[in-house]
Amino acid sequence: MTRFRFYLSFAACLLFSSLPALAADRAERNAKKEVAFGIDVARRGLWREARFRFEQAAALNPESASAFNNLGVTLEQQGEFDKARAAYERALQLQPKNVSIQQNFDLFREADEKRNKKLKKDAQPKPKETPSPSPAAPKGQGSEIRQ
Amino acid sequence: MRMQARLLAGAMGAALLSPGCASSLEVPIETPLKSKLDVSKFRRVLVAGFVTDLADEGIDLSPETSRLLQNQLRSASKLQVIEPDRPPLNQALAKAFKPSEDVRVTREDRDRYRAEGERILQDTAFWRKLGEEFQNPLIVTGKLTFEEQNRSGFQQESALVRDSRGRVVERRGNRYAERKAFNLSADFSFIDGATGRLLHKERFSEEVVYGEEQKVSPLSSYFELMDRLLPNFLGVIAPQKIRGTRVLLP
Repeated sequence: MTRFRFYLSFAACLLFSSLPALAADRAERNAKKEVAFGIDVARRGLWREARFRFEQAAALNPESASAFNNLGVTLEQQGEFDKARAAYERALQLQPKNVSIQQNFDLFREADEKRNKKLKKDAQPKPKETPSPSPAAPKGQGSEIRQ
Repeated sequence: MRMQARLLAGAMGAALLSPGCASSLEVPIETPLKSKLDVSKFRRVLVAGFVTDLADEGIDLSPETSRLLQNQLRSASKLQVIEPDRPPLNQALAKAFKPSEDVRVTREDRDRYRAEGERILQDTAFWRKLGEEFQNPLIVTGKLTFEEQNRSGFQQESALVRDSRGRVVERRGNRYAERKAFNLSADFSFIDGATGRLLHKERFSEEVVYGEEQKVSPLSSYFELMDRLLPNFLGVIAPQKIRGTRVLLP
């Protein structure tokens, strides 16, 4: 009877100790699924849905460099540059030697510099009668700069 | 045998589906860039013409630029583009400025014309009146300069030649080369047609240099320079997009 109790408690210990590992494994697999789906929708230009998927993936597996890299791309596409920078930096922290992440981050920084240069120019003093322009943008097709 | 084939196919499938084999995907992205000027209160835009030099490089600079900007604004902004028969600023200048009796354009004429242009550009009442006439649009105007410059001179050149021993050596020297440059400077002013007040002012300048073998007319050079300048001009009143590619990782 004592031996039976011992085996029972041993089995229970084993089960409980492996539960977190099993849960982590499951979360990782789910995160990969989210990333795969996110890529699929991003490929079709559905960036809002892609962002949601990559956010889910990053929440499920905070160690996933892919999730953070892809989240950085979608945030950049949506014009949320501060958040995009943070996501790329996190991705690089997780995989510092990943060439693709580094390349994305370099291109992001290059574009960011262009934007900041433009903003700095705007901030320069203007003639007295010039009221400071409001940042709101009109709805137009806009022109393009190729990067 | 059949079992072996199945196993092989299964292994290949697993290899293809494994994360190690999954490849990254390059996607095109467009990042938004806000316009410099909030034009949401305007429904129309009027390119009112430009103050130019009296003796230009064989190009009617003001109407050419007005027409080009009207075309660009039509596709790049949602504002309705007003198309007057003749740029109103140039009409006003023609009325105000009477050239001297001399057939040739003198330096004094040029200075007077320029000064008159400057005066009109700063005349709030003139722009308010023009705004009333065209239902309070956003008015685009300013000053333009387009000039040809001689950039001929000695240029350093190097060539690979064989010396007396048959060895390939680099020989450097100077050679006189004829070159010309075209320079386009534009001071754009964005004026509120309702008040006649200046909203924003910006200067753009572009230059192109041609070698002696390139026979380029001033007009085509002008269009080349305007083509470079236009994205910056449009960035003032319309949002822009920076295009690029990024890599998504599986």
